[in-house]
Amino acid sequence: MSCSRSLFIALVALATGVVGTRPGEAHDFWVQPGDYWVAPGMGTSVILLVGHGPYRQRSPIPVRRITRFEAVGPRGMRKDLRPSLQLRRPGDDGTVVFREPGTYLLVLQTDARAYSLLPAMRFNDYLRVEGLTPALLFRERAHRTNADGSEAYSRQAKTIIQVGAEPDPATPVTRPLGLLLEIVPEVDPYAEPRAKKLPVHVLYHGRPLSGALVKLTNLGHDANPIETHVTDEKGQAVFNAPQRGDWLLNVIWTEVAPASFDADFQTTFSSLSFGFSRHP
Amino acid sequence: MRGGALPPALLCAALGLCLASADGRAALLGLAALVVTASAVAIAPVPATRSDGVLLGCWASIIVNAAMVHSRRALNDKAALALSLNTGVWTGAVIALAPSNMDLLEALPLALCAWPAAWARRRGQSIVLKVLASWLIAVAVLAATLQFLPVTPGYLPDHTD
Repeated sequence: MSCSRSLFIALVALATGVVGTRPGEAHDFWVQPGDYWVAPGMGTSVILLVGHGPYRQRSPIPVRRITRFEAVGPRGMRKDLRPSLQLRRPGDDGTVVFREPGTYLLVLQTDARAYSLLPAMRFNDYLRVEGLTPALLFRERAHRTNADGSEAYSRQAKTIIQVGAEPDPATPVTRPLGLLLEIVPEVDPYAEPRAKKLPVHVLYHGRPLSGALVKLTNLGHDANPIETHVTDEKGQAVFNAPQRGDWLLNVIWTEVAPASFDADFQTTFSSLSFGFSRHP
Repeated sequence: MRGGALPPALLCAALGLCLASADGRAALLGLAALVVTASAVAIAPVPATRSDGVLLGCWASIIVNAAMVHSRRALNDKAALALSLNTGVWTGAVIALAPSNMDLLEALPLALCAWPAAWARRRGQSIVLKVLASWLIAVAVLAATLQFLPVTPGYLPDHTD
């Protein structure tokens, strides 16, 4: 066999492997504290994570793309935590300290400069799995289902941290914080007595979003979500309330980008993480 | 293909194939140089921001090593040492960026293919080495090219930024 022929065969074999294999759903982003429950004055590490199961990894996002990282706490207290971020240092991406007891939300927003270009089949599959039906319909109407799909996307993430063991009657958890796409629980998952159901509503540009697929994932076994619901016309979805473990709610929404954009769609990934595993 | 033991393992294998045509003493010296250099660089603080450049250097070195297998002339002592040092640098650099330095133990033994390769060469079976070298070149060219393609390759997770 000539060298050129063996080179050709190897290229074809490798190329087949490259397009024929596909990782599972691996694109959710969230903020994970080292401890969801901490004592006042104690610090906890935070890690920015992306992907599930074997594809979970530290987020490679550069700090310049993070437009907001703040704590929202009792009595409407807000604190800019961007100086606390030390991305990709060994073990974590920074440490945050809360002095006052109460329930806090860590909020992280990025700009929409992340870019994704997926082959047509993989893009259609992604839209289907994530329930992005309007985008699928748009591609069908525009006869673009065989075209590669491009997106400019941003991340919006919240995580709930309980400082001290006392439940917070004025919890910020059930209030929207002005994110572009936001999951807002209607009950505080940490409130006592623990609710059996966890109703949430999804806001997009501050308005209820219907038809969005919301997923609840156990971060201890996160290859697949435990429960999924599509929001109703009021933007609401109701889950069974987790009682232990670390959890992630997430939702994705997209809209057709203006013609001046380099991408076909503008997509927003939103998440809410919370956990009970470090209950003092 | 993004770091870990696989790229340096392929690089060490390519070096082993090309050392097969070197004098026995030069091959031994080259392998020693590879182990020392790779071990030293693997514990050096290589910034994560350099990962694309390091991987590109690794793939380029695979191409150079494997291309030497196609040369009609035997590898001289100086070339064997130079290629071994270069392989050690890029092997160590990729390992330094990997989650565990223990990946080095998976990569370095591949260089020992120099002995069976030399045996095959002595028996006039150089074509086997050339086929393997061509395969390594194909893999390296494809992997290096994929780094620069805007589309997310099928083996990588999407939306990771």
